[in-house]
Amino acid sequence: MSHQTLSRLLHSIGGSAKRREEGQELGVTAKDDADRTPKGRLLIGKIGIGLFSVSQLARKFRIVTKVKGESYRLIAEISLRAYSEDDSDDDESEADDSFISGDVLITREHTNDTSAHGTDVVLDDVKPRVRDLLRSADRWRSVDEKAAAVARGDFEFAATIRTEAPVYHSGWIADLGVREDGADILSRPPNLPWGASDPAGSRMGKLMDAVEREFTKFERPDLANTLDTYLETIWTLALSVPVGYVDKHPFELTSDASVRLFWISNETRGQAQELDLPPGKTVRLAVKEQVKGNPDLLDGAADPAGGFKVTLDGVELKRPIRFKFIRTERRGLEKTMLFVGRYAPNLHRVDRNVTGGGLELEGYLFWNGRVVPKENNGVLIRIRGSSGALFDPTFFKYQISEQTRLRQITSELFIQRGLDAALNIDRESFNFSHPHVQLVTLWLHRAIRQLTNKHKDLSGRARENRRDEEAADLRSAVATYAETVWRSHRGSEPPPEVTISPDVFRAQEARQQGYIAYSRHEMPSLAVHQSAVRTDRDSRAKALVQVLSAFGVLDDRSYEEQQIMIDAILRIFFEMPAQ
Amino acid sequence: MSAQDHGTSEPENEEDLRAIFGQLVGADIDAPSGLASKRRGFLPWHHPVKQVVRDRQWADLTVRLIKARATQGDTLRYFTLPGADLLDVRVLAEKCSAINVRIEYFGFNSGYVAAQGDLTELNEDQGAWISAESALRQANRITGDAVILPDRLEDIAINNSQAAEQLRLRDIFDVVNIDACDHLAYKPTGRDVCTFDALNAILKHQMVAKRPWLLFITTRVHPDLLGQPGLEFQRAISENLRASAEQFGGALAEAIGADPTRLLAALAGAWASTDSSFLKLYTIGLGKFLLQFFHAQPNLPALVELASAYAYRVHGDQPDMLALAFRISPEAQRAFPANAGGVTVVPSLEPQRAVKLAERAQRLQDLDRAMEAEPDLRSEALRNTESLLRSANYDEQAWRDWLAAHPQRPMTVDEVVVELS
Repeated sequence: MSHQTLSRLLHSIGGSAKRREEGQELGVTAKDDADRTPKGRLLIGKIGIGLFSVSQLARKFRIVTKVKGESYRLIAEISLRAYSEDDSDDDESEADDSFISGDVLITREHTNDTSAHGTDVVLDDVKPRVRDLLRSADRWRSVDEKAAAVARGDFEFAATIRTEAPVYHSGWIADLGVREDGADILSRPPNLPWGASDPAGSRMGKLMDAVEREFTKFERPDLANTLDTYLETIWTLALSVPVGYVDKHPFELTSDASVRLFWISNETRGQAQELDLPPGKTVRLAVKEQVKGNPDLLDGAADPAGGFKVTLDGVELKRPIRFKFIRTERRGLEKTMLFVGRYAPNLHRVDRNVTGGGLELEGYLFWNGRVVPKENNGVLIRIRGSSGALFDPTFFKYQISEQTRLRQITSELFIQRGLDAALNIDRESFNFSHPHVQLVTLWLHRAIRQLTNKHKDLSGRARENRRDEEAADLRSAVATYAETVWRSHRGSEPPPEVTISPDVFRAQEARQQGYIAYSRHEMPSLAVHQSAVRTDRDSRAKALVQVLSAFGVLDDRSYEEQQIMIDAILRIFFEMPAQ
Repeated sequence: MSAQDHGTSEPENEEDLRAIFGQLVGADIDAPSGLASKRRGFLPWHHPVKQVVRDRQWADLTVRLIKARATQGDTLRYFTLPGADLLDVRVLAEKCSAINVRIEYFGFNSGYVAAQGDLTELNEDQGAWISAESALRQANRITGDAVILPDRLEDIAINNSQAAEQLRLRDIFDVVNIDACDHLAYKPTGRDVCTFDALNAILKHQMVAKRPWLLFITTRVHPDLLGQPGLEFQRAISENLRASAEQFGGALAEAIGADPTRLLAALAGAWASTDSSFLKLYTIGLGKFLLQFFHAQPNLPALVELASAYAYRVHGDQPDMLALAFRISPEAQRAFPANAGGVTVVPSLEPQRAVKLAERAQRLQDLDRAMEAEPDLRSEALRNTESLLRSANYDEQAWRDWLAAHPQRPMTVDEVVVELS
């Protein structure tokens, strides 16, 4: 940054010069296009929230910046005051009626290295509360409190603390900074999903593997249970920044991915068109060759200005979204489904004063047996490759009851033009009265309808093909009743298949086959010897699980917790086997 | 009117306030540090004699190590204990950039702790450090993963310490530079471990290295400061003498200028002296300790060579700082047959290697003398130090004045220039 740019930046935290003529004068944007960087990439920032957010994390920070070709670097040291509207706090502001937001000292340091260039923003005094948030201090303190209660035999109090330690974490130092002389000792050593010799580029994949492994413990593994705030922050940042995917961009998938490909119709009552994905061809190529008009899908194609590479603490950030099949129904679909589309409504016939400008997007909806982690369920909107929000599991308030199917969809919309003006000041939520949001919502809901119709059709056919098998599977009265309850609450969605395995190990195996599986060994109410009694109890237990699932009672509970709950209910009705 | 005005405010809960605001003292924390002024606080490592160590030992050997690699790679993994100016990194980075290698450093600087020390000095150090690191990053000389932590080096020897854990999370280093201001037996306040324990922790970390690496150790040495490491070095030498009295004993006697027939008495005298025999003996003892360490790893053996040995003065009239460089070359992993039981035959190479070590230690160079005797060396050291300090925003004239009035080794920059012209 030149001194003019630096000065402009510091005087206007929360007011960027990007995408304005002023930015062109300062060299922040391309000379002929205020919407692009000098090298031609579409600008991401707009209102100066980047530097504003730095000021939320630290009261004091420094900017060290150098322009290529210059023989000096500029160092700005900034201290910010907390905003106050309490008049008694600030005599100076009272005197001249102006709020003093902070102090800055800019110095110039000579250097012989004229070729060096870049800007560093260094937070050298992170607020204590921010540090505590990042190290999950509240969670660990609660876990420690629970452990202490157990140690002193106060089980009643321990049971009231429901906090669990994260499975993967960066460690915990309970008495950080308490001892002035002495080493900081970890109360809990870190459990990171990667090793010291794993290269930065592979670590995001390892983080994803770790979360996916929780699949045998939870029906829908989630980030909050699995990761501490530090790792969750890495995850969230990786979702937000315009980088590549952990494995592949969905438009680069090939037939190896075991996926059925569909093109989303932009007609009001249109249906998706299934495309062939022959070996060796990518989704991008299949779309170009088979869809009318030979559309080019642009997202994820090579960036002419060079791509972003973001490394955080030795982890190269990559979008933590994978497109591999996870089975949930033993008799369900054998492949995933990928719906891709492109939407650029012709707004020329509408008065330009009400269109909000042009709108263009590409997007995909990916159906999988199970979305892991559950935070990847929903739709995520990317404007110029980046996003300030997480996946929206309501899909912009999709109203039709598709409880199971909606939970099986991951979708990203890549906005190539427009929508930016509809982002609220928090950069997370949208102004739903903006026409672009309404157009995007219409398109998305139409795409969901096409997906659910196709899914109903395909899974119905799959069931028909297996009718013989189904017929042979004699249904008891109680099982039939449970299915009736399920249908009355979940419609045509197939009920979950439940099995009682002899032990934990085999239960985990069954879960990978798509069953809700419990271990008989852990459920005394089902551990009876007489064959007839056992069969009866098993079938009632299975029915109970289906009924509770229909009402969503089991959602987001670990299999272990579900097992305890089911066993507790069964004990009310069944006599316990003699010890 | 505020609650306080009504006299209804809550009693102050300092714990809560600290959790939210950190330090509670007033405006001084937020005051800009005043980077504008040139730095004027000079320390022993700003003397040109240290520059010879940086240039001729650390940088030259590192470049040689990189060039000797079969696959060069574009990154040097460097363990360091830098001051706020990152002087060692700057020198290495300059040499490495010429061969297109960037530095990924990891290390400790306990001076960078907000809770300790004089705030003005701390702010100045923080500013210098941030500026130095940014300059290196913006010149593409270090990687984005380079990091210095505010822990003490010695903490890596403490189980479950944050420092030890952070080290464990790092891969093997190409160069380890333990540039200790104090002696190896030094125990920081509040710790029961010394710098030598940290050296042991580093050796364990590096044990699984698959290619040659360098270990630089700069340490204060004096007979009164031997401590536990001194006993280990003496034991290592005695054991070697028992195993190879003639060969190793001869080389050792020659190194310390003793009569081989009266070696034991000479050794006792050398350990208590402050002359060059003590420095050489210390060097051999440390080298012998390293040899024994790697010899004691039957599956992961490594060759230890003394690549360079310098001594210079910091505290007294005699050289009392040793700057040693060891090249450690892992050898092929050994596999023992499953039926070997508790008895295995390990090749006994150590005594022969110890002889080479003693021969090399004999050539220990007194840098102060060398600088007096060699005007070219002196002028190069002065020039390079001045340039390095200029790049680190030091006041050149103040440095010249400090150097001219140096209590142990005063030097005048102009004098050298005149001599050369």
